[in-house]
Amino acid sequence: MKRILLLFAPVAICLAAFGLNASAYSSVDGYSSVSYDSATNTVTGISYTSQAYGADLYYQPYDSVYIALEDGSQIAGGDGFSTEEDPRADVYLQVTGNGCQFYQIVGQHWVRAYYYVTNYYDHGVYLTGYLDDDDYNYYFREQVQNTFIGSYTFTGQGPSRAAETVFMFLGSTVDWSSGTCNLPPKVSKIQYKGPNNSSFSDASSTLYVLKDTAVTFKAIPNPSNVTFPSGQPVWSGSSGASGTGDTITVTFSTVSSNTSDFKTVVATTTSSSPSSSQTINVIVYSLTGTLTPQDNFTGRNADKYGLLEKVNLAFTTTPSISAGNAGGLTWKITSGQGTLNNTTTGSDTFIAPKTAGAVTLKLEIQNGPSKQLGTQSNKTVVAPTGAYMIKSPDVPSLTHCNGYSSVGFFGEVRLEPRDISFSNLYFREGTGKATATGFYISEDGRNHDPTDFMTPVTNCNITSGCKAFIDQVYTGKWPADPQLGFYYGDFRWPIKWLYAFANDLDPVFNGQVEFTTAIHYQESNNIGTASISKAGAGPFSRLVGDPDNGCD
Amino acid sequence: MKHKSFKPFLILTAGLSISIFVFSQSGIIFVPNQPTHSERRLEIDDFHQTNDYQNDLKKISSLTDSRDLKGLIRFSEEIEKYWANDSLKRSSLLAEISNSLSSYDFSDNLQYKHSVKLAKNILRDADALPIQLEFEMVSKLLSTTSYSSGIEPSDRWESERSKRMKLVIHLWNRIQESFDPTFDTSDIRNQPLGNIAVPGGKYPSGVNPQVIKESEIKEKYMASLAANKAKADKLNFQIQIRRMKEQIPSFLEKVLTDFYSLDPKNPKELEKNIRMFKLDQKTRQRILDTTKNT
Repeated sequence: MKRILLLFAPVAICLAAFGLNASAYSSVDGYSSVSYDSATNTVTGISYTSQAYGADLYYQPYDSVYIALEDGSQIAGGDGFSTEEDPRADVYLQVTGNGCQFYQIVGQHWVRAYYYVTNYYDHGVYLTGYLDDDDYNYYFREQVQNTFIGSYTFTGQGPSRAAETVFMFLGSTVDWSSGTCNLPPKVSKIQYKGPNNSSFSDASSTLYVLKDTAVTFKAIPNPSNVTFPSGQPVWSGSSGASGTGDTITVTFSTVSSNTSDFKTVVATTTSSSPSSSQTINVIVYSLTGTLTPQDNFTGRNADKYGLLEKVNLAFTTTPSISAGNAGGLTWKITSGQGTLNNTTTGSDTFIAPKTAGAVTLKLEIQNGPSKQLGTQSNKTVVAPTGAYMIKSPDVPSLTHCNGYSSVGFFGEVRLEPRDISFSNLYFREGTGKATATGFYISEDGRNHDPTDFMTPVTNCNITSGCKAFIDQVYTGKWPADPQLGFYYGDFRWPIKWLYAFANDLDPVFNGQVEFTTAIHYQESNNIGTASISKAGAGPFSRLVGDPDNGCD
Repeated sequence: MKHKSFKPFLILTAGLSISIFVFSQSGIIFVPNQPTHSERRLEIDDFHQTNDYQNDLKKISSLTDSRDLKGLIRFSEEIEKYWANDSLKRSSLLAEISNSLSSYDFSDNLQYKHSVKLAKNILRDADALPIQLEFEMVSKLLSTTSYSSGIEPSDRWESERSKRMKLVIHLWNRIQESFDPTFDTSDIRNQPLGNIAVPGGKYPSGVNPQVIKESEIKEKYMASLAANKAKADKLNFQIQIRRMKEQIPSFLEKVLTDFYSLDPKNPKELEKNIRMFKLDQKTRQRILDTTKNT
């Protein structure tokens, strides 16, 4: 037996449409019930639609109903309107049954509206009244309850207005019964709810569950309004599901060996005759996030990334399934900083932030039973901690001008730590003010001119670190003093070294950071032998009498 | 976006530091110590704007830290207006917001819609953008969450996909056109030197050309510096292009997989794009398999 109360506001809608100020609500009862007598194999159904007293001035209830077998085939049907005498639309059905099974009745509840019409022409005057749908005739009734004056057929003239829809469907009521057979329900379907799902969802086709997820399953009875008897249904399956009752929780701890290795969840009602069961096929998978730095040189640190380093993010599963099957896979930053693109296919690019710190990346499942679960990776983002210079292996010879105190070399700046890629950073030299003595006294206070371009960091390797810069380090060409000849002097030039985040020279855009100071140091002795070093490269020396090399 | 009053102070500061005295072997000489052009421009002309720009960056960072989605969206509108005449700063700031919205969890799927919207806004003028920024913003288009989550009506995805594909194709063409296959980035001759020797050897490498008294040496030195800088610019650009070229096949795979996994799938158009991007057979198969199974 099923009964519903349908609250609706068509009066308000209708009247408002015709410019009248009204806000009445009406209520309609819908009811359907079916019973079965196994002794006579007779199915009996009743259904009605009724409305509150007084509302019949505006609406006429209408009821349409059928009775069906378990397989959905209809065995009886009928419909009816309310009348002047009986304001309730009743339908009564009786039909021969098909033995012990569930019978279903479905009642559909409607009202036919008498719409209020303004300004229709009748007998030389314009009037107002109510309308029904029969041939678009206007049945006039005064707005006084139960005072029926008569009906008139006329042609609407002038700006008369009426709504298009006259029949309004308000809803259905459904009832099931096996009557005196007193059958238990069958399992119509199984629903699931993962630890982060707010409600149960139908488990259609194959369900993909992340290993170690605890999923609650719920058996839905058929008929839906009949509860399972105690101890029913019985749960079983290769997932290890075991127990009784309408719900069960299964923790999937064994990974499927392939995409055909289903871990099943079965709900069976053994009390039904014949017994009924539903099976859910579950693929249990393990998920691994893969983080591959774009600059993945041999021996690099896999847990630490350089500032602005780019890392390709992907995933693997066992067995192999798509991101879509898993419910959509999105990489997220759960703590720390960085940049992602928000994809749902499990493939993204992480760009490390411009500041050092810890970052946690999570590969998160977006939907399905394992929603919001996933796998996390903890990484550390590091800035260059220092830099040093080596003599360039590409141009190893020293520069010298014969007869002069002079020496120079080509150097490469390499960044520390060496196991980190800084290949998305840029490098330049900044300012510096020299102190000089003796032979070099003219250079005391010499300012270093910042490099007028940014150099991209390249060629990272575990042996020497990332290459930041090629430099020509040179003492200059110093002749002997006409009076004093060669004599001792030294020159010390502390030069700021900067890394930046873009090749634009403007610090607004490149965000440059002074991270260390390189010392350019040169000496000349009393016989003009010059030596030079910078940031750990050297000292390299040349005698005055050494042959020319690269001298300008 | 408030400070406008630092200019006189900075001019004064620059004015006080325009010259220094150097002791030489032949006595005290006057050496004009002028900042480089870019530094002078920065110090005098742009400082007030720099300050505004930095403040705007800080505000974006603060709104991001507090996960203030509405605040970021409102601020992006202010940036649009305030920096309307400086497209690079405007684009860079909007890109920061787009990055924040695509990267951090604001607990509202609207964030992804706005991240993409900002990226598309920036890409309206893609030709004028630094190519690296174009790549970064085209990457933001990978997000389809606003369609898969129902924030945007799914029936609009087909036309949206076609608009996004045009932007991807623009980037791809730009990379192809910019790539110089004859240029060897590892050749030492193509590498600029951080400091170069001053002709004649009278000065140490790394000095400001303005301190050089001898006009002939100064001219030669300045010409060498200019050639060195041109070398640096070319190398920088070609390294960037090469890095992008290396990334582009996997990036295009992501694009095609993500875009064509959503209905309507349109395998014909997908195949056409795979052919246009000249993706290899293995990649093609991976894309087809993934989009089919999603």
